[in-house]
Amino acid sequence: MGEPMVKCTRLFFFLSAIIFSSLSVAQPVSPVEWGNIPSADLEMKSCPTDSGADAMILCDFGYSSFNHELDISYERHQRVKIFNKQGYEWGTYEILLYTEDKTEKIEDIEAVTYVLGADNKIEKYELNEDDIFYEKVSDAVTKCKFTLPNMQSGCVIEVKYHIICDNIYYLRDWTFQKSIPVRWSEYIVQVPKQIGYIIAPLGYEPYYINEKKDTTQKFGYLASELLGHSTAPCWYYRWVTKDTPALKDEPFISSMTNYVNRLQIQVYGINLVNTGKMFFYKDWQDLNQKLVKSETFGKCIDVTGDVEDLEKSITAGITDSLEKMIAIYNYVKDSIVWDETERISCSKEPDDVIETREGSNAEITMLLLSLMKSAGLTGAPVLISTRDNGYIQIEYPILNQFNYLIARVQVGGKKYLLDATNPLRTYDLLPIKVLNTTGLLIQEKEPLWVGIQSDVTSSKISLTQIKINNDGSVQGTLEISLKGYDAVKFRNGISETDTDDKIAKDYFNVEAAGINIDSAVINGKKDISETLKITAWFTSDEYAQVTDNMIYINPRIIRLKENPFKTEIRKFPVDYAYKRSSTEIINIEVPEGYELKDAYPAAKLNVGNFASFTSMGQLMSNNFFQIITKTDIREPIIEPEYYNDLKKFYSGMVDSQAGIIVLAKKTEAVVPASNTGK
Amino acid sequence: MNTLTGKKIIKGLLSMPVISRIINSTFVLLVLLSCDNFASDTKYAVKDIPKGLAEKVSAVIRLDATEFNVEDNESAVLKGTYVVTIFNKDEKDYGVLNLTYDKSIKIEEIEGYIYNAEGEEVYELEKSDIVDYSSYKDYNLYDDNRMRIANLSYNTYPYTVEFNYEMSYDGFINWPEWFSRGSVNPVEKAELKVIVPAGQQLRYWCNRDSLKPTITNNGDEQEYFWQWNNLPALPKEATDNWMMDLADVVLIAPSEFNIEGTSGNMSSWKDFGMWAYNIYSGKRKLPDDAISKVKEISQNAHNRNEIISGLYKYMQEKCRYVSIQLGIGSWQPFDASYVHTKGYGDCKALSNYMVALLEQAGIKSYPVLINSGTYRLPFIEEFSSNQFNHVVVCVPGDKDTTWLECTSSDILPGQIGWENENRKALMITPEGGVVVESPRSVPGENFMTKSIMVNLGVSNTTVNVHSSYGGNQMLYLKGISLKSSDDKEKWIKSSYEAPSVKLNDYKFTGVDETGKSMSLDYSLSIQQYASVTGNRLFFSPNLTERVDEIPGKIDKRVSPVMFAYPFKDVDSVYYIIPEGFTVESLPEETHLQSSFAEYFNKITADESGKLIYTRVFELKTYSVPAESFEEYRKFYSDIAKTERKKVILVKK
Repeated sequence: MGEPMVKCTRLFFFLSAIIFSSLSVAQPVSPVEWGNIPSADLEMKSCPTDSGADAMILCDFGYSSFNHELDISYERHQRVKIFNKQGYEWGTYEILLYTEDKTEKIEDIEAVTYVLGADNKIEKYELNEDDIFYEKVSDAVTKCKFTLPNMQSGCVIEVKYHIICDNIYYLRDWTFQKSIPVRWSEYIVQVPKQIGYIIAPLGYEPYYINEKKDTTQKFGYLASELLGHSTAPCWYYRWVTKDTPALKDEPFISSMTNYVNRLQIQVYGINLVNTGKMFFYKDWQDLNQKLVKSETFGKCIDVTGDVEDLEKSITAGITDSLEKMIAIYNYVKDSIVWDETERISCSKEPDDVIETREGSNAEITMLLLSLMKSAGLTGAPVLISTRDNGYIQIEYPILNQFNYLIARVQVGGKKYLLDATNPLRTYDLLPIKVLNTTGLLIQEKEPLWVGIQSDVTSSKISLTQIKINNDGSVQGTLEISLKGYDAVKFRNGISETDTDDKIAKDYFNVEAAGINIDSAVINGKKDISETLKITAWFTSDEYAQVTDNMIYINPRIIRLKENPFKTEIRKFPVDYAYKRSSTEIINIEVPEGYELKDAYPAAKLNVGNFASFTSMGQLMSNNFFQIITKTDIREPIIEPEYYNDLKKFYSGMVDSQAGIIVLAKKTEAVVPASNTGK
Repeated sequence: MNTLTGKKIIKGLLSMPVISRIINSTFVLLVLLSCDNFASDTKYAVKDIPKGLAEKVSAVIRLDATEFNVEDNESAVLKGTYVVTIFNKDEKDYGVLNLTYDKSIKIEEIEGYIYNAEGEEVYELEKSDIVDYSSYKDYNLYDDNRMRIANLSYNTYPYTVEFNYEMSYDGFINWPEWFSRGSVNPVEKAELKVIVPAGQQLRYWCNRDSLKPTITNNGDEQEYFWQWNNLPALPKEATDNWMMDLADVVLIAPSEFNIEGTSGNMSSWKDFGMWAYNIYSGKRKLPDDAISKVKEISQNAHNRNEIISGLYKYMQEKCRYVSIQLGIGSWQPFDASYVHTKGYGDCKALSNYMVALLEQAGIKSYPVLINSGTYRLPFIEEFSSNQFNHVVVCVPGDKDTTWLECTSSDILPGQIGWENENRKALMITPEGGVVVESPRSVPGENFMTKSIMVNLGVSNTTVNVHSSYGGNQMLYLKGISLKSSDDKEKWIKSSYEAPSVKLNDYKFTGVDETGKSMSLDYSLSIQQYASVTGNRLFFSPNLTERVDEIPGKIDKRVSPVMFAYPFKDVDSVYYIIPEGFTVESLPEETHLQSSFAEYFNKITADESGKLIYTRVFELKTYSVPAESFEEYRKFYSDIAKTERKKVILVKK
């Protein structure tokens, strides 16, 4: 498993646009005046930049600051144009509040619908307080929900509210880009310098304004007590995006959260009178040191008596280090059940995990490392942000960016990344959700960024035998061997009580093509040390097309029929997660009295060095024809600049797999009775 | 899940040596007794499953028992016990208990245990294993319903989970439904016990005549008891059937009932409808501006039908559907004036508002309680009970009756969609409830007609499509036309099975004046529609419509196959074939006929070498009876067979 140092190609900075100055700043106000809707916006029939849009955010304004009690005050003002009925969903608001210990409360909710009525008169409908619903989602979260009254196609809605939060952790993030176009989105944050926040901007679209200023703020009694002075120096931030296009979902994407424009905000330290100077994590090194010493993290690797006993029983009789590692991995994956929670730290000690034989991924990883340590192998935990959780911002030491933990073990100079949460995965396969991400190795001296890739190519080898009879009926076998992730997926998907026949029928799914699977055998269904092989015997009276003296047949019973890439352009990389390879051999027995008529079309396709497809047919003897096809996806991620080539590549594959063999009845060999005169 | 206590495991492990030690002593009799005691300490051991029941299954329902104790017209207590042995991960979800409750149902208690294969208790449900959720769905702005979910899992298969729970009812309309089995898994024992005060008759309905309860009088109570033992596993394919047809079903319902300060009687449809009528009454008062609007619309209309459609259109423009499930068991509508001022409401509120508008115009109409959904559940007319989930409006007329679906903002009066058509429902009139039948549609109404010109090329093929859609197919197309342009394009392209498809332009034309059809025109180009081998070109003549799924084989089908609606699809495709090619082989004409459908396809060449392909598929009925399942399967299989056939062209 390779682990090159990570390149920062996916991080986007807009530092150049940051302006430092020390002007004092007036109380920020929303760029649009409440209730003053320009008639052009009411009259607008469709979005000028995106005619298909159902709605458009005209203005989204947020302002976070600290009030006199040093609570966070968050003001929000949003104005939305609704073009049609499908846009009505933008008129229903759901605001999540952290209500454990009354942390957040919402107040001053106002919402108005503006409709251009007859005679161009503006009709105005206000939200009634009784129509605001509060719903307890969980012990910690309450949802505030309301919908605007009297919405109609073409209306403009306007909403504002105010949230007070007494916990500095919950300074609200901001998302600039939505699934509809956004004309103007602005977020202003003003914080005392004594409360330090890391603000990470993400996304592909440029910022129109990106300011950071020095300022001061006068605070009241309570806040002054905490800050130590009544006028405190503050940072003032302002970000604006303008005319941002709608974000659209596309296939083969790791996670849309990687591409949306947003700000991720995290507190990193405070310096108040009652707390003194206190950093959460100054930098990655600091975070590393704290984690190494933590009872719920680094300390979980310490070898206890129970761990040592268990390790001795697992590795008894094994001398080779790599074999020891594999034995420990196999034991943990087979004996400890993953409880399906994803954690980065432990709430149970390794001894408890051994006793209950169950744990989170973090607890399983730490037990694995503890056992390795007991066996004399060097290892360390690696923090991960899974694919759907989004990319790590390496510039910002924010622990919450991570949501998963795996192990790295070193044996004789080679490093292995391990995750023992699924008994169906061999030690060289990580869960797909962590592939092509960046991990942070937490170890004694200093942390290390490691790339999480899989070197294992998932492969499929198939062998098809088809015997064609002279009435056009066929019989034969389909045989497929799966390795790597393809095998894991297959084994994960099958039900324990299903017969091999049923599993094979579902897998091949060829009934509608006129093929009957008469029986099937699956090898290695459970034992992952065996190769997974599916063999099915089939017959068909109607698969081939027959005329008086011809038989036409597509020898590829299993084939790709459609191009998965349908959109014309693509902005984001195509993410296959892992490398793939497929080899297909088809042997065709031509019936007695028939011969191959036309040459079977050969194909050779490629996308740079990333992907290739070759297919060719060959007459091996008089009645024996063979087609060999090879497909390789050599890179797990293909950049959008190759999208068109990739689309053509699939198009060519579909076309090639549609190829048909033409067999013609041999004309009776006419033996010349005599030499015809020349 | 939390840390296991482990205590019981240790006890289990230590027991064996203790016993063997005593066996050597003289207290043999005592040993036997203590063995018995030890045995009684275990519950639901896997070895106790009756022989044959646990073969090749992932779970066995050991006990599924419900006791429903009715105290009076508004209070009842439900006690449930539910024990399942789980053999592998496939049925792990049996360890999850999901109870829904609302203002009138309270969960008094949930207990849970895990037993290992030997039947020893290894875990007891803790508070932290239970989560409380709002059962809110995305489409509801607000509802009262909540659910509590308890989750038990264990690390060694097989294991057994046991849940005991108790819920109390304070006011009710719905009593629990009872199924002897909820899945294909075998059932060791199932029980239903209903207790009513002495002198009261329990109203119940069973789906099989053979299901007779044992009735016992216990002083001031009367007990009805049903029991099932050793129900074998069913084949997995059986899940294609309705559970209602596979299981024994017992429905129970109150006669007199109280809920949130109202009281009613459900023993007849008339009485049940009367209660609903009273809940709706007093809710129809309209504000002044609504009254003048009704006047204005009525004055501009030429006849009664125009008034109906004018008011319906007004309601559609003014209001949108927002689900708010509040009030009496989700039964009471908001006032008509509320809907008028807010411009939104749920199905009850919008229907009530519509009835109020019509009433203001002097037209009688009634709300209708209906069970809406693509699949028509059997309506049990002989058993009056709450079998509904939706409300529409019926406007009876001398000659024609008009039905109105008030939650849709862009369909015409009379179009109630496949989710409401062809089923029985309860009309709410001042005289009480009346069972009525919602309209049915015929294939010709739900049509899709396409006329397609194809210019076939060796590499590039261009296609021009003109299509028109009627009835329910029009409603479906309408739904597509309202999606984003990305989704519309994807939907159009999805009809084509080809290496690459490029859509050049498309146009959805809105509903025509008759209100009964709309059209879609588009043009696109396809790369390599025909595949090439040597001198030949191969292509499928059925360009856009094809059957490529065959219904799965099943040994014994017991439920009818249901369709959303009957329809008629007609495709005409004209192919101009590439220069220099001639036809080598054309698929034969196919004509398939069955009791429920008809299919026809044909391709011919005209004198200019143009090919004309015709395909007609008419589904004539709403359902196919279970006993005709093989015929149904064969019909689809025969279509798939003919539609695989290719046209073969060869170079001249």
